[in-house]
Amino acid sequence: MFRRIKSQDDTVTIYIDDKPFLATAGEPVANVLLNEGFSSVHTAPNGKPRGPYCMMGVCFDCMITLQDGRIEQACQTYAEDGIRLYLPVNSADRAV
Amino acid sequence: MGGGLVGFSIAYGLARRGLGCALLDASDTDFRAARGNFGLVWVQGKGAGFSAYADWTMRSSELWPALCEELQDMTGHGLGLEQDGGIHICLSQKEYDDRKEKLELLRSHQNGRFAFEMLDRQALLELQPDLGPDVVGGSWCPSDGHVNPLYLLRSLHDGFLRHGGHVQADADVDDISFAKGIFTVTSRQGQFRTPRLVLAAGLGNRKLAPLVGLDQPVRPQKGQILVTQKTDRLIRFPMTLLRQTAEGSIMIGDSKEEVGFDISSTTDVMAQIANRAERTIPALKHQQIIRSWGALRVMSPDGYPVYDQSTTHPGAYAVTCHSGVTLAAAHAMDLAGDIATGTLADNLHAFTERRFDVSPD
Amino acid sequence: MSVRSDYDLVIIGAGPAGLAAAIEASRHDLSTLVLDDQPAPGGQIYRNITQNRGQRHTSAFLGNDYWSGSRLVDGFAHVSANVLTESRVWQITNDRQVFFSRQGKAQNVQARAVLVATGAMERPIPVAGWTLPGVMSVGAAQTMLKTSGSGADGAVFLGSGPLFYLTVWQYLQAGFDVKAVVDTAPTRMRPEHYLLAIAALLQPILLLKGLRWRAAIRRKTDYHAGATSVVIAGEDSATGVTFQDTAKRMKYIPAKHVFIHQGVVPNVNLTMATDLRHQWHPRQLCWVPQTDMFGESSVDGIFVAGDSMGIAGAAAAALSGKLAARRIVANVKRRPFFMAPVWHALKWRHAAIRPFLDSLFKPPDDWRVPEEDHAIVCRCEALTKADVNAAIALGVSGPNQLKSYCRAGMGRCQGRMCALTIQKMIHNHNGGSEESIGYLKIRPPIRPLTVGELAALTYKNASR
Repeated sequence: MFRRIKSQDDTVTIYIDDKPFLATAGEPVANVLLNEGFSSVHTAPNGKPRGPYCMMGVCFDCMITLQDGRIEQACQTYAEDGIRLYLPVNSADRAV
Repeated sequence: MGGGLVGFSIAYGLARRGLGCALLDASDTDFRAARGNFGLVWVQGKGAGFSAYADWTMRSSELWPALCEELQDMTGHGLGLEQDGGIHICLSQKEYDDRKEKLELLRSHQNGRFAFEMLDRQALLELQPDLGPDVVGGSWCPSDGHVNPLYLLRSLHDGFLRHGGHVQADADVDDISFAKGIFTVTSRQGQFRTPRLVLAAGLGNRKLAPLVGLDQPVRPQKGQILVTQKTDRLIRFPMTLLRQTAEGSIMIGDSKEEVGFDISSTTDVMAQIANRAERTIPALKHQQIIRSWGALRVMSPDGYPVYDQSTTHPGAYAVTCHSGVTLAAAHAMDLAGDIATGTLADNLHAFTERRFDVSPD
Repeated sequence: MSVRSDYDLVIIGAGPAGLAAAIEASRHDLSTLVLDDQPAPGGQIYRNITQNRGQRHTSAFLGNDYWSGSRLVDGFAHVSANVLTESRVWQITNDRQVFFSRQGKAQNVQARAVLVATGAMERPIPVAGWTLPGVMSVGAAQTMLKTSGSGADGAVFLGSGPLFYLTVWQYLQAGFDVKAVVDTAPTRMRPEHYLLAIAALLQPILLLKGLRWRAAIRRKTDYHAGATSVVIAGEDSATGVTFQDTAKRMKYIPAKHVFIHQGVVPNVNLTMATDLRHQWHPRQLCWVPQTDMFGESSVDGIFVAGDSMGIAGAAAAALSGKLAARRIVANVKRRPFFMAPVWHALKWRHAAIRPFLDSLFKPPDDWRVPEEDHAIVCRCEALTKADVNAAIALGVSGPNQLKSYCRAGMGRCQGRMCALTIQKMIHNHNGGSEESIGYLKIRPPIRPLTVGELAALTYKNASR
């Protein structure tokens, strides 16, 4: 489990599967996922769970779905107040 | 010679008849039309001005299930073949009318053998929901289908090896000489001697064919394809420009560009392709494009296959087409059978290169 | 800020190379645009530096090398260059049109010169279990420290290399409980290491710093040197690490978080998709773009600087950015550039330690290609080593044919996580030179964009 050692200055509320979580404004939502204990966020073609690996946009294993249906990398999506993300339930890359 | 769909279809067909066969393939970074194939096993619209081709296409489509089963049983890998029908979408009344005219002409030349239906928007929506507002209608053919073209190539390669075939990679061919009924092929990997030779090197045939007294006036025609992420089933039946693979990714085509030996991905063309796709199925709007293709079709002057048997160099064949997937079954079963017996069936004589020499009188 | 449709210089990447180049180009009044995919400049090494400054005392553990980046970032804040953050470049054409996506919208700008400064990424290392949730690269752990000030207690660090030791050091400084450090570097230096260390003496501070970190890590953690035969265990998430120690005993350390690293390599997807010529770097075991001494590539007007052109570290990156910018300035203003050799020598000096580091921390063979058949080699398509070998066994002439036969390299990452691995696997089977096997053909878009975004570009171009 990840824990923060710095206080959060500028916080915003983001929603993961419609549940509210506190995030620092502008931080990658992948950080929030890891800090809140979501170690896996999607499923690979072999049915196994996957989670963030590189945190810099090259591994594409931190995929989440945004409210408009787009699938995005959580580490390339930055926390804004009210942003909603959804974790795909079924196989990888399936738009929810 | 040639490790693409045409080469491997024929090679597989020969090897399964028990002929000792070697396939010479050029290098990994060559143009390789087979890697850019869309994957349609397509009948509708083919051969509108050339009924021998329409027949040949239909024949191949009918042979496809047998080829598929044979390859799947042998290699254990699925090919994703579906032959449940296909659609050609029309985005304007003019497109619709032109399409109808073309297909009716085709049907009349084929003595009604070619079954198709023009469907208006309402009828199409029953087959494919969520069509965009610009879709006026389309043509439907129950014989159309699609397959995974790369798995097809892999299975033909695998099947060829299992039947005792030999593949030589990186074997670009520099010269072919002929003496006393034996061809000597000089390649980057050494020399090969054989009494029977099949040139199936796609665009490479242009340079090689004259060495065996034949002519294959093929030119490159570029096509670009976009590939999306995998997603739930959005596209029910394959379309000429859109199909969803068994894995869930959506392939979007295409273009027909005369730009020589250039396979670069160009944004203006990619944008046009994306635009037409979105107009057809608006739900594609949010699908991510994760890669693109650019490949060179092997185009003859009239766009139809060229099959020739050399008279000056008996034993040599040159074959080319740009529908390597659709024709794979006919190549593997029928054409390979002809080549194995040193013949060329009557129904294929129309495909000789000499048809380009006909002067109007 | 309104974006022009054309610039003298478009820089891709706001890390040390890109920032230094932007500062230099602006000084000489070149119209400059910097495109970066993050919310703020800094690249990976100086990530989040502006935000962290507000709480510098709580981020002191990040170390002086990190904070030294402030100078560059501040310098950049004061120049006239335009910067577009959260912008993902997905194509550069030969005539220097740069296509990028920002906030779901695809756009393009025309450049007289382009500087690719997209930096490095960690080498993909397909050890068995590397795809399990809970396993991340060491750089990812460091990024969490920089961007959230968060870390995981009880993690095992596994691998070797400068970034590896630095991150463990930062974790210790920050007060996280490090479960163990499993070091895969050779325990004894070999003759070639000593030879290369001579050049490394030109950067004594770096050498000493590295030795100091390593000594502290040995003291303060459960440290295991010379580990081999590494496997990360777990079914649906990481549960621990098994390895063989120098006494040939099998060891197991339970852990839910495992951070792995075997060095960094240039992130070449953009340069490859732009059809720049590349060459194989036999010591760094990766591909680098071919460039002249100024960083100009095989395509006119397209330059490369920083770790994108070969791993040399932040100081060398800043210098190479400055050098490329100077050259571009000289080209645009049609002036000669006399001092180039001096700069080039300075850049070399800042990279003098590299051959030593590359050699000492060369990734072990079983980290380049796993020993286990069930280990995942292509993450995106979940292909195991056995899956890929089955296709190689048919006889493939290179990575592109392999890709068409088994899908390796067809996923979203476009080979970033597997191309080097499959190249090595083909080499192991086919023989010859590693370089001759080649790399996957990379094509734009090198970052995904939606069908809708791309379709909308039609209208934009039509109205031009």
